[in-house]
Amino acid sequence: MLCQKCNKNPANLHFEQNLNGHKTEIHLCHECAAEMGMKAMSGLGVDMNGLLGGIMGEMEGIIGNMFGSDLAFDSFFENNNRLSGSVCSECGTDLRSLGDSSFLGCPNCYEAFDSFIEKNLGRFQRGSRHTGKRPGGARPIREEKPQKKEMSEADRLRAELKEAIKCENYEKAAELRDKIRELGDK
Amino acid sequence: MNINDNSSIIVSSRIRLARNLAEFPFPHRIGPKEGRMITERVREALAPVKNQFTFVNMADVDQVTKLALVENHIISPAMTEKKNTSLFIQSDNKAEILINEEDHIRIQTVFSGADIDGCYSLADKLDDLLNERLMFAFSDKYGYLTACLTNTGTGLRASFMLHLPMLEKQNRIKSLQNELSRYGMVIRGIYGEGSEPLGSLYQVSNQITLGKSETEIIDELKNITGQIIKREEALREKIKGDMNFADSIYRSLGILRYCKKISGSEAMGHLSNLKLGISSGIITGIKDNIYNIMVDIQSGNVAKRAGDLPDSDRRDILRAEYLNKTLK
Ligand SMILES: [Zn+2]
Ligand SMILES: [Zn+2]
Repeated sequence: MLCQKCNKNPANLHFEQNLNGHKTEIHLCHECAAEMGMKAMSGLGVDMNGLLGGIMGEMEGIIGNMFGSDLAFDSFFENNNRLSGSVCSECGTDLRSLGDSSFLGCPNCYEAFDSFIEKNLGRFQRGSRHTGKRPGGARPIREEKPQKKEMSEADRLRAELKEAIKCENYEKAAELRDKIRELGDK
Repeated sequence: MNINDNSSIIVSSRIRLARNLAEFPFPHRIGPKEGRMITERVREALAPVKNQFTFVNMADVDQVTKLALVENHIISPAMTEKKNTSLFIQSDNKAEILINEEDHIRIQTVFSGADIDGCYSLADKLDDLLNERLMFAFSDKYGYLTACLTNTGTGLRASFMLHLPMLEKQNRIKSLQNELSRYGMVIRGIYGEGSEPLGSLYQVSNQITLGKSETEIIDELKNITGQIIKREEALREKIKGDMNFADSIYRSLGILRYCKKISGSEAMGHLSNLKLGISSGIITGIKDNIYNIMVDIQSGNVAKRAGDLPDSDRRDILRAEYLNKTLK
C-alpha cells in the first residue's frame, strides 16, 4: 500500500478513527506522518524553550505527533466534513485546534473527545484509567491491584524478554531477567 | 519505604498536585475576569488557614523578583510570561498554591532532604481543604482533569532534587536518562539551559500521572532514586583518599573564599565541588547548606539583594563578596 499523501513511499503507519459509526482509515509513510506531526508541534507554548528544555520538549513532541495524526485526517477529509461532530460544546475547541496547541480547552473537552483521547492516551500514560485519589479525600477501594492495570512494568519487561530471546540477544535477555526478578522482590 | 541517603545526595523533595475548577475553561482559554474569579474562589477556600498564607499577584511583581522566584523554584519560567497568575505562599515556605499557571490550581510542597512522604501528606491535606469549598474537574475514568493530557489522572508530579557530581563526571547521566524513561520517569538538569547543567543538580520525577495511584508513583520514584544514589555513592567510594580529588576540592574552597569577581557558572562548579567535599568528609567545619548558597548566587537573587539592577560585571563582584563572607 502506498502513502496516501505522497503516493510514493510505502505506507507503514495506519490511523483509524470511528466517527458516527463510520470507520475512516488513513495510511501514511513515516516522512509524511512526521511532517504532519511537526506541523502540530510548531504551535507549542513557551515551556519548550525555557529552562524546562529537552524532556518537556520530547514529551510535547509525542503529543504533537499524536495530534498530528488527526491533522492529517483533517486535511485529508476536509471536504467530507466527517469531523464536524467533534467540537466541545462548552468551549468550542475542535480536534483541529487541539492539534495546534496540544492542550485541551476545558474539562468538558475530555467528554467531547473521549474516544480520541482514550485511543491516544496510552502513548504517554500507562493505561487510561484513573486509579488514585478521588475528590473528598476518599481513596480508591482497590488500590493495590497491579493485575488490573493494562500492562504492568513486569509484563512489559517480560514482553521485551520474549523479544530479546527471539532475536537471540541473550545479553539483553539476562539483563531483563534480572530486572524482572528485582521487581518481584519489591 | 525509606531511602538510604548517607551522603546527602538528596537536596530536596517536591510534590505538585494539579487541580482545576469544573466550571471554568483551562487557564490558556480564560480572560482577566475569569482569572480574578478563580483567584477569589481559592482565597475563600483558604479562609480557614488564611493567616498562614501570603498572597502575591504576579502582575504586581517586578522582573527581578520574578527571576528570583524562578531561581528559588517557586514558580516556573513559563509562569512569568502568563496572564492572570498569582500565588499563595505559606509562611514557612513549605507550600505554595499557584493560580492560573498551566492549570487553575497547582499545590506545591518542597521539603529539604528526603522527606517526600511529608511533602505528599501536606499537599494532600491542602488538596482536601481546597476541595471542601471548591468543585474540582474530575472524571471517574480520567481522574483529575488537567489542561494538558500529560498531567491528567493523579495530577501528581513527585520529584527529588539530587546532587550527582560523580555520575555527571563519568558521563553517566545520558544513559540514566534512557534507563529512567523506560520506567516512565525522567531526569533533567536544574540550573543552566541546554546541555550544560550547573552545579551537578538534577531533578528526578515521574512522567506518568494516570493509571498509577499516588502511592505507586511515589514508591517507584523512591525505588529508582535509591538506585541512583547507590551508583553515585559507589563512584565516590572509588576516589576516597585520592590526593588529586582532595586537592581539587580545597582549590574550589580557596577560590570561593578569596575570589574578588566570579561568574555564576564558575561559582556553581566550585560550590558543587565543595558540597561533594563536605559529604565525603574531606572538608569539615562548614555547616552552611551549600544548596541554599547555590540559589543565593543566581543572578536574580544577587540583584534582589543589591536592590537595583547591577550589570553583569558588578553582579560578579557582588557574588564574590557574598561567597567570601558566607564561607569565611
Ligand atoms: Zn508519504
Ligand atoms: Zn472544551
